[in-house]
Amino acid sequence: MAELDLLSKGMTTCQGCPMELIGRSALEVLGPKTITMTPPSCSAILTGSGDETGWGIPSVQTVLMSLPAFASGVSEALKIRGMDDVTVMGFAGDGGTFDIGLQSLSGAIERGHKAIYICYNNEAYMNTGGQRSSATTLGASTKTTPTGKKEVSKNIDFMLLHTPLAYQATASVGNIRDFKRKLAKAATKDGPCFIHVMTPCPSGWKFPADQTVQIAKLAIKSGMWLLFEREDGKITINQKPTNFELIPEYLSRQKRFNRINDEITAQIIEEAKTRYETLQQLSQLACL
Amino acid sequence: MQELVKQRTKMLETLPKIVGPVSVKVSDVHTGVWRYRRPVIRHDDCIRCGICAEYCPCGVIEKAEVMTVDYTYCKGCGICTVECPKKAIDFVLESEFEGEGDQ
Ligand SMILES: Cc1ncc(C[n+]2csc(CCOP(=O)(O)OP(=O)(O)O)c2C)c(N)n1
Ligand code: SF4
Ligand code: SF4
Ligand code: SF4
Ligand SMILES: [Mg+2]
Repeated sequence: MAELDLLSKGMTTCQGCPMELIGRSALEVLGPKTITMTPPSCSAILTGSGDETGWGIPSVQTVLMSLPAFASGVSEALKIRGMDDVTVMGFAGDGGTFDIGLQSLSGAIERGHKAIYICYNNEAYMNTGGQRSSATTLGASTKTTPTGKKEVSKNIDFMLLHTPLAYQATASVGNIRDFKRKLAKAATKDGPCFIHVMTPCPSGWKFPADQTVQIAKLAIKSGMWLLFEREDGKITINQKPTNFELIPEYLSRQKRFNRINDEITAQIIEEAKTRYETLQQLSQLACL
Repeated sequence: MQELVKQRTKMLETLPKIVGPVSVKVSDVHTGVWRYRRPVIRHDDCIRCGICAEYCPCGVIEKAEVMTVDYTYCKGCGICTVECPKKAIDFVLESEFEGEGDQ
């Protein structure tokens, strides 16, 4: 008999989809004793519709506003049944996390349910055609910002620093081993955990499908994406940006940044530097 | 009949222990037909580091005696060819591919 895939092959995500890679890698770490849930988003492709699913574990399709509330309920039910070796894994996009699901996430964290919340951030509402979200980078063209987004993105990692998460981390498909290590750590915690994963989407960001991992690596090197984790009141920076001057290259390799000018590029670089400086200062504190 | 029941029960026993209800109808589209280029591993240059399998979004590369690609599902994204540290994976146009393999 063929070995059972925890996530079936033959998913209809796009060629080179980073979200599918995250889902697969996550189950390699968490194993069969996992219950997952997805909101309306690209990840709903994995959960499927009707009586068909891609997951080889129990899964639920939730509404977009309140995946963390579903996770809370499942987590408490497992506790009552004494099944404390089962992991609850929420798997949502940036729209479902930064925007529509934010109040539900905030509530679930404050109530302290044991669950791992993975946000794969592809910086737009991809499943409905690529509209902007509050996670979209300044200057990026989307369906609803055809001339480039005018606002800087919401920094959800900094926002969540002041919430009682048992574990918080950023990760990237550019460093899948680091992601797996962080997830394994989260699975040992007895409270709410949040892992925010950079997810360069070839279809929405408009770069060739074979470049998914390369774009994610460049984001880390250039300081566009910071890798850090927070536990026991302290932030640890996992990888220092190599060179902020690589940012123009990062931008020019994606067609969604076709319309930006030098001024916006300078603003993006400035913002990335400030973000890193702030993170460095925060990592000196022992009270988060 | 008795034999069939025994056989099926045995099959179920080999599954990992599942913690709740799970659909038994598994999505399974033969996404290999999307592919217009195919990754072909040159086994002589491959060091079996497993990096290609780690980064394949579709989970179709397996580490066996040699690394194998399941072409029924490989979408031909090319990520494995880019991430291989030994550059041991050729990315061949399907129209020019000559050799064994389905689709
Ligand atoms: C309350 C509500 N509003 C709008 C929608 C329509 N909708 C379905 S998927 C989606 C986009 C979700 O974006 P994101 O969470 O970033 O996931 P992605 O599609 O990018 O993977 C939207 C707006 C919905 N299902 N429910
Ligand atoms: S739009 Fe992006 S995230 Fe969604 S399935 Fe396609 S590649 Fe994956
Ligand atoms: S990444 Fe390259 S060298 Fe490593 S196992 Fe795959 S084909 Fe072989
Ligand atoms: S081309 Fe893409 S889908 Fe096919 S084996 Fe390589 S990484 Fe996997
Ligand atoms: Mg999104």
